[in-house]
Amino acid sequence: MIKINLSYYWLLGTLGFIALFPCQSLQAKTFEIPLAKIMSRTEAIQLHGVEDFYEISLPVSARYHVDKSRLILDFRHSNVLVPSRSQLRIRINGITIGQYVLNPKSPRQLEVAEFAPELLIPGYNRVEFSVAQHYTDQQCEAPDSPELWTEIDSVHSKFVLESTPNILKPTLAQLEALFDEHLLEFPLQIFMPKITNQSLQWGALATQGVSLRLNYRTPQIYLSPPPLRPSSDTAPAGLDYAVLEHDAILMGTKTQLQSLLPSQILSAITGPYLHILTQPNHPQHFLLVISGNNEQEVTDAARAFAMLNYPFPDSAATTIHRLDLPSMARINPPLVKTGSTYFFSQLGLSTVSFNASMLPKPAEMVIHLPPDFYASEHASASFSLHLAYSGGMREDSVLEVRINDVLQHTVQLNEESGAHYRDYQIILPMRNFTPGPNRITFRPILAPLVTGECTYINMDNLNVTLFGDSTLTLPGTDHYTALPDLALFSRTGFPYTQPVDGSETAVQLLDDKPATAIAAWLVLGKLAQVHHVPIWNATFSAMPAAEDRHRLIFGQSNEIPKDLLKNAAIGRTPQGTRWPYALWKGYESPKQPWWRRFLSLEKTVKPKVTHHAVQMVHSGDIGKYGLVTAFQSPDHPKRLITVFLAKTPENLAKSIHRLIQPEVWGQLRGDLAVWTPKAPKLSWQQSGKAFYVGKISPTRALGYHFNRHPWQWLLAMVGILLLFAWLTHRLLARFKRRRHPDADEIAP
Amino acid sequence: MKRLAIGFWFLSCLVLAFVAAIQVDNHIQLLLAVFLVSLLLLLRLAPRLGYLRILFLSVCLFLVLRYGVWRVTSTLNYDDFPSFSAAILLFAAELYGMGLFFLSSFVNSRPISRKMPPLPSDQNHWPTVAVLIPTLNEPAELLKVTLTAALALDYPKHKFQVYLLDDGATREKRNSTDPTIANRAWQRYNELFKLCHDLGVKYHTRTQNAQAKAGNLNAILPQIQQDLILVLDSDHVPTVDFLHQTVGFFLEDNKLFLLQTPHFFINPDPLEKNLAFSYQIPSENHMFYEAIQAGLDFWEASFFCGSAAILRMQALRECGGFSGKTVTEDAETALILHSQGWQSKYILTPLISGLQPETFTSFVAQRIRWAQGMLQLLIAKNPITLKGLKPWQRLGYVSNMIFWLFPFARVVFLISPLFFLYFGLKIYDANGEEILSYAIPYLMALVLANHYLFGRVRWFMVSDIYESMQSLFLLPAIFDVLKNPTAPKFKVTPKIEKKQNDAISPLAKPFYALILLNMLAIFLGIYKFNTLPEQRTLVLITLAWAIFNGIIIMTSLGALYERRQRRISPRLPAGDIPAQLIIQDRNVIPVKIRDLSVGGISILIAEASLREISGDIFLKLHHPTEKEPFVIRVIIANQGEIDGFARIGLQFLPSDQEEYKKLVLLVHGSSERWLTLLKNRDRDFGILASLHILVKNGFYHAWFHFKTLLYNRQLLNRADA
Repeated sequence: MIKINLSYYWLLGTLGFIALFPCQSLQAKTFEIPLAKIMSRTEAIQLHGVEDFYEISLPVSARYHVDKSRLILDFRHSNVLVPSRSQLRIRINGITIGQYVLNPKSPRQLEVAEFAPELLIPGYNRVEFSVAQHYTDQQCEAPDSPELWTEIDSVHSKFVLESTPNILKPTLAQLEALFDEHLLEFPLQIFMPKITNQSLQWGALATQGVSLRLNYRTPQIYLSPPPLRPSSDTAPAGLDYAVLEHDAILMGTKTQLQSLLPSQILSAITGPYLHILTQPNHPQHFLLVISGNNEQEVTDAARAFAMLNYPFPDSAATTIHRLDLPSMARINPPLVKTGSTYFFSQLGLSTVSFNASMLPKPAEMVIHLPPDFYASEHASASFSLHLAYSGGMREDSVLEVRINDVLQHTVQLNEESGAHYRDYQIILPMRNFTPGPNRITFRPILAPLVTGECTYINMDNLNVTLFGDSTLTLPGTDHYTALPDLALFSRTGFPYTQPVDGSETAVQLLDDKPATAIAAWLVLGKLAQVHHVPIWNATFSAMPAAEDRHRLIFGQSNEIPKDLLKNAAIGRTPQGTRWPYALWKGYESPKQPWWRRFLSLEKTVKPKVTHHAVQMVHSGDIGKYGLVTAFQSPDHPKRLITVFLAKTPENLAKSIHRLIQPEVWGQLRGDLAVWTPKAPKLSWQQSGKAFYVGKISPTRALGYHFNRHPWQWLLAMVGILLLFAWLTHRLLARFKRRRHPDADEIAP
Repeated sequence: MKRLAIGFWFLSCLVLAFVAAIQVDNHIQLLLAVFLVSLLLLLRLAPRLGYLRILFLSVCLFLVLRYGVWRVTSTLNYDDFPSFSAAILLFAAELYGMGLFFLSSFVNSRPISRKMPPLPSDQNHWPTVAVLIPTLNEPAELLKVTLTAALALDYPKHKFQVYLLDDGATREKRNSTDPTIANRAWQRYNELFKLCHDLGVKYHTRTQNAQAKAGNLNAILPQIQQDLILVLDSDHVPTVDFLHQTVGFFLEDNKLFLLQTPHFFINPDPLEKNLAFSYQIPSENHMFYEAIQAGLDFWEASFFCGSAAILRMQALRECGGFSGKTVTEDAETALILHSQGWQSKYILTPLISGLQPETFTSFVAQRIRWAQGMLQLLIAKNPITLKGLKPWQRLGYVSNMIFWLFPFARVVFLISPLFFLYFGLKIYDANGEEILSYAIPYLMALVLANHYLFGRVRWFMVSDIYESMQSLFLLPAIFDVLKNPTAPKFKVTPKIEKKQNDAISPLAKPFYALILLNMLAIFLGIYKFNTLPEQRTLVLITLAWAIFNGIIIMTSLGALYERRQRRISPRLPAGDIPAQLIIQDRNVIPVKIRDLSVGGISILIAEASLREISGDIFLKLHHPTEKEPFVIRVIIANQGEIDGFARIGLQFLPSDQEEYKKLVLLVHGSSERWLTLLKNRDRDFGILASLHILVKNGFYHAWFHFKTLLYNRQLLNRADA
């Protein structure tokens, strides 16, 4: 009896504890975050000179509570440093969490810095590594002496965060926070009753909505039919929450979800419908229901989820009675318009002051140029800088202007007493810009006028202000470009993102396997991230049928119709697959006639680079490779087809997931690329023929053509001139015959 | 067929304009430019006629058009208001230059030369002619030469009558309340009346001096019964064959109202004289009379130049005589008659010899009248809108009229580099590659086209010097016309001016300011080249430009150092005509005539002892029009030495009017002689050689100018006085 009572109380107590402290039931998780994973490039952190610092951002999700936190630091440093004056300091959000003497006797140090998890806030946390390094006890030393260095191994140095997931009480207003970009991984289950053209679109919209909220991170998508829990004595049939492992989205019409959702939710579906709820078995995960009375209503609900980036109502569910999408005529794509003048402040660069003593970071703004802009050689972009700088700078102080990290111009700040420039003009060729995003950076390099050993060096007076009313004027350009260009595709999503709603895009799948659908959705999600707008009007089909749209095709390599590849770099033959193989790059010596060398503007003529390639047919398959190739549509000459292939649907999904990682996506070039899911590098080549798309004035189109075929231009010009002169001569001869038959032509 | 051909031509024009607007990369444009300029250089070697001539002009037009399109589309960027204003001003001047180039190419696309139609063998069918010689203030000595030559015209005497139309002794002047004017008028009246009476010329004067030269001519028209009139300026001495060479055209074409002949000047213009180019380079007016009028003739737009032309009386009567609303009554009258369907023709044979202004002051005065008159005409009777003209005639007249807007463009070209070098105004937004691809080929096209069309009659850079020199003085005159088109009044150009000493022209002062500004600008340019590395292209352009302007101004200063002129009758080079000197007490001495005029000759002789000779000396030589030996008494006026030979100046002493007539005909009577002189003078040395000679002489005389300015300032004061 006692035993029974004890068991009873134990059970009761346990249930009570769970009811009172539900989080205690959640499994803690340890996140190990190597520094390289949160850096823009995988490289060691180098700290040079008397003082230097490096800054990274550590993402912490609001969906987890950090219980313990530490930093494991593996670093090396110079063995000539003076330990009494040399140290490495680590700060998180401005608070020092560790300081280490740089002892020359142990040039490699492994340190662990435990720090209070309260220092970490949800979002990005600023982590600074700063050093003071000295090689002498004296005050006099060269501040940039090469022996002053410290190197932090970013692969082996890592943050270890022991965290517990928070129990969710989600509302739609929290969608932005729930799809949290600060989570380094984001697995997501999508449930839909069956794969149809319509449901493919829903999935694509949902994936794009998620991708946009995750910013540059990519979700891991799992697609399956919703798991059904059969009815039992205690509960009716419904969605089997027990098998859900991650956050999930359930999509379908009211009828399709009839057996999955409780009646109170079903009865609420009276139109396009969004509902978010906690998964009963996994309270740290949510389930988002996207539904409606019919397929169109589900589409509307999915579009609302994908497109709206303003918080939804602070409730668990909403019915969307009306969704007015902008018509194409009113759509303003998120691009700057050429032929316009913009204030820097409009482009995201407000007035900024740099101070040398603060180790100023460059100021930058990103402009998104039309992906298909074509600027003639004469077109120039003009910066009109409004800037001021203080006196007391050395004459080698400059403000560098870079576009996409390439130095374009330097403003010399060489007035000893300082100056204020109201309209400092910088004219740059428009061709220095690239289609799509361009990062324009202003980097001050400020040197004090008074320096020297044992001299107080004042850096506080070294200030530069770049005002936000400085302007950038872009010349008018045409919209005309050569395709295929996978680099352009990766940067801008072109041509699938033009028009912005994707109404000229068709997505076609070679099979109805879930993994193939996932692959397609991931690519669309990536395009949405690149373009910052979801493609909401693309059509979807499970057949590679001819269509007057730019097409994205996904599937298994052995299922691609061979006729479709007529213009592609690869092909299918009865014997096997035809592949181009780049053999070598040849540098042909310039065999120009003397007069062409004479006419050339270049002092030394560059050798002509020729890519030698062979076409090989073989029976081997593509194994673990993912493949993407783009080519002119055989049915519509102004349309592009981009095909993503792998041996199996699962391989395709894995390959695509790898491809859309920023470090791989940025490597896309040419018209054919292959990669493996684990390799860091992608192999690409340009093998197919180019074609041109876009609108351009006839003169510009000819200019574009003749720029590639200068001798045609020369012949055409001479031909036209000869013809013009001949016609003029005939008319004059006729005039003379009729009016002055007896006069002689003379040459005075 | 005709419409189809014209349609095709317009289509090809559109295609040409279209391709000129195609923007390909600079290195490709440079390739094209190099090819086209090379083609131009090759075409220069071929005969400048027919298809090749048109091809040459087409290539030049294309290069100019291409440059114009590039300037509009690529170089007119707004930086700031002052820079943009200066850039637009410069572009406007360039646009004017391009427009003028297009018109000039059109006009000169196919110049023609006419053969003299034969006169009927029956002289009764020859038309009657009235020779009208209007005069205002020219001396009797000068008029006597012209009247004598007019009376000696080789034409049946009963078929022509010579009239002296004297506006210097009108009743208005003779009755003037100012006794000086009245006395002078009476004196002139008596003198000229007697001269005319003695010669057999009809003297005519009128009541009032209304409408200047046009009024003077119109006053006699009611009295004229002849079919044709020949108008001669008082210093324009006709050759004996003038009427023979011309009246046949009127018998051939009933609708012909005008036959214009070239004005051949026997004295050098100021630039020729002051830069010591007399009879060595083509005269300033040769380009007009030997090329442009021949081009206009093709387009049925050759026009009346006020003298040396025959006009049909019927046409004049129908249009109410000479029109005198503007100060260029000649062009105005021709324009009206063209608009009424009458025709004009032009022949290239020089049939008169005349005088042109010898000082820069009188040269400028003449050009002010022409500029004002042509602009008055453009405003009052715009050929674009005037009814009755054919399209090609409109273009011909417009070309001649808007030419006179050149002072605007010239002044802009003179000051534009200073905008940048002094004030940093960005007048020209281009990089070095663009300059090579567009601007240099454009400039080369202009230079080559000018040389191609006018190389023999106008040396390279001569136009730049003439126009730059005039522009400073013409610009205010042009503004006066634009302000009040009726304000300008007819002013006779002074032709005979004596200068005892070399002197600086009173019009030189603005050029001192210009040269100073320019020199400073060049120094600033060199400084900026070193200190503004980011603007080196523009610095180089403006620096080169300022240096070019400096050369022009320096050469102009050379031309503004006026050389002395001591004769009324200018001596013409004779080309060593063989003659004999007959001395009373010695044998006949063979001599060579170096130059001659109605007053006397200059001979070269091996013997240097003629001063001691007493008694009569006679000169015997072949008379070109009389076709027989001509002997005339001479006296020694002066002696000198050239290359070891004695140079002796002899003065003619004609015994009677008949001998005087022969003397006049000896000097002025032969058109063949003028043709030979023209051929010798109009030589093409090539662009670089002529530039070298011009600059060398220009700087040499500019040095004299500065030397006088620094060490001999009284000459400057004397010139001012």
